[in-house]
Amino acid sequence: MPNPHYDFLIKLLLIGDSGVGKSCLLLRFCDDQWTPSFITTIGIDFKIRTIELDGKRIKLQIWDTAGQERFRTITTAYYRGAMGILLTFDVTDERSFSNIRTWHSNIEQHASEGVSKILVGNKCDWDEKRVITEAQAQELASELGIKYIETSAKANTNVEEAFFSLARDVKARLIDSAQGGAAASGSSLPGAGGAEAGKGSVNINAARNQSPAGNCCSS
Amino acid sequence: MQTLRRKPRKALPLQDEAAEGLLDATLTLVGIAQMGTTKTGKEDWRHFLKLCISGIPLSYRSQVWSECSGVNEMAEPGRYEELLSEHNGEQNQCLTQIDLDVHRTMPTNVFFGGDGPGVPKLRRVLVAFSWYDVEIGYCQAMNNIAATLLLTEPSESKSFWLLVCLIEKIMPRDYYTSHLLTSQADQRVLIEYTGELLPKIWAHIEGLGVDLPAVTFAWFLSLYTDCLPVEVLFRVWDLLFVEGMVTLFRVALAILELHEEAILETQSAAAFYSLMHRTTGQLFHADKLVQAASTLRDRVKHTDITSRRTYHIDALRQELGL
Repeated sequence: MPNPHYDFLIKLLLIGDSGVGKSCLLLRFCDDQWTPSFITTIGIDFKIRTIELDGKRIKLQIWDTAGQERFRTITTAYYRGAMGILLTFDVTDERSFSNIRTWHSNIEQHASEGVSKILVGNKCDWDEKRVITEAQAQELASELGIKYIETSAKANTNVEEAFFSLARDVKARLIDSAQGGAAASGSSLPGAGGAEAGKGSVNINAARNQSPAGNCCSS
Repeated sequence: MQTLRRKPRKALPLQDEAAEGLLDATLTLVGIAQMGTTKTGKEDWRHFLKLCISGIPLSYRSQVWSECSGVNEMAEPGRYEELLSEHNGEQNQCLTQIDLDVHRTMPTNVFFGGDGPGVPKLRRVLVAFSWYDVEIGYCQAMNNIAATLLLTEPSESKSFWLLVCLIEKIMPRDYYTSHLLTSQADQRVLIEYTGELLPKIWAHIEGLGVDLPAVTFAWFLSLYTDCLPVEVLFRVWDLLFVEGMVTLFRVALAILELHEEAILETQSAAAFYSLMHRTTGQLFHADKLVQAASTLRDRVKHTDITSRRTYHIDALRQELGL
């Protein structure tokens, strides 16, 4: 099961209201599966997938979170270690969309400065139930200064694109710039510019032992 | 078990130090409340516990659970139905979450999957609870717990009262309320025990940078409904009802201990998480697990947990600024 054959490890985090399909997106992306028989995520869960980006093998360690409000103090502990965050809502659920601002300010409060983000509108296959238009979501994304992508975990639309796009941003921000010599700008990840960074089996997050959850990548 | 049948007497206070391991109950079946107080009572208790460790027979299970949890003294006849009828059509902030979650609870079980007959029952039990205890309301994980009760106890109202007893009596306060403070504190207590009782495992996973609660938090909050196969889960719950929530700690440590070899082979935190997910789902040796948990009885005690918990609750309050 442990697979040391990768060049970089990137930690991503899925957040958003309960029921928007975070776990479904993760299952689709990591196991290429979809099932209507989903279970509630209690606290925190995670999956792994190794992808290839620009000839490099990148191991993505993706944390999935419970959406219910009272889990917030537990899940926010995982923000700090995340290098990229998928802010997820359901295009058929207005409330989940309006809550994106709250989720975004949670990120500002708890995540590392300059963390990569992407806005994800899930369930885009469900045309007759849609209440949030692409233009509306796009507008919010621009306002927040992040990318927007519409996905359907069920129909397998854009799921790969969403995760790849975020992973590419993280790689450009932390890995490519670290290889240039200096630590990534705006990144508070202490290990990002470490001496090992250019060599391969880098542990971007090596110095995160203080975080209750920030040290899950030490492979 | 019938040989132990006797008349009820005054119930022991829950988690009484002198009655370490005993639970508050009013008796109808085995007479748990008076065990441990007299010499013969102590013998009865040891005998009863031994029987429970080997598994409560299915036909007695719900009855023994009821007796051990104190359902008989807590249940108010008709209250369950009243809660539902009084609040029929009314909204509270838990209902949306409950409606979402009842369709995501044990989806592969015929009783709960799809439009299974268990779904409306589960919904009613959770809705009634959200009105019964508005401070706790509804917390994810309670869906799995209620569903497990409904699998054992066909009566909705009895399942409801069992849920009340589990959440309000057997589990400590603030386990499911906002911020889940006690739940978080207990994870720190578990980390301490892991370090003390399983030093080899702890040294290894700490070296890997493992965040143990990423796996074990859900074990505790869901009372293992989230990870163990149901037949093994029932055996764990037999102990949970009889010995109290201390069982959760013993079982967690037992799971780690039983997988020591595999854990020591993991090369990364991620590999450890995957291993734990995989092994708990395939942990079919109930006897082994329950035995391993029981042998920790002398080293993992209720009073010690309580004092460690209090310390960590205070620490957490400060850290979280509560």
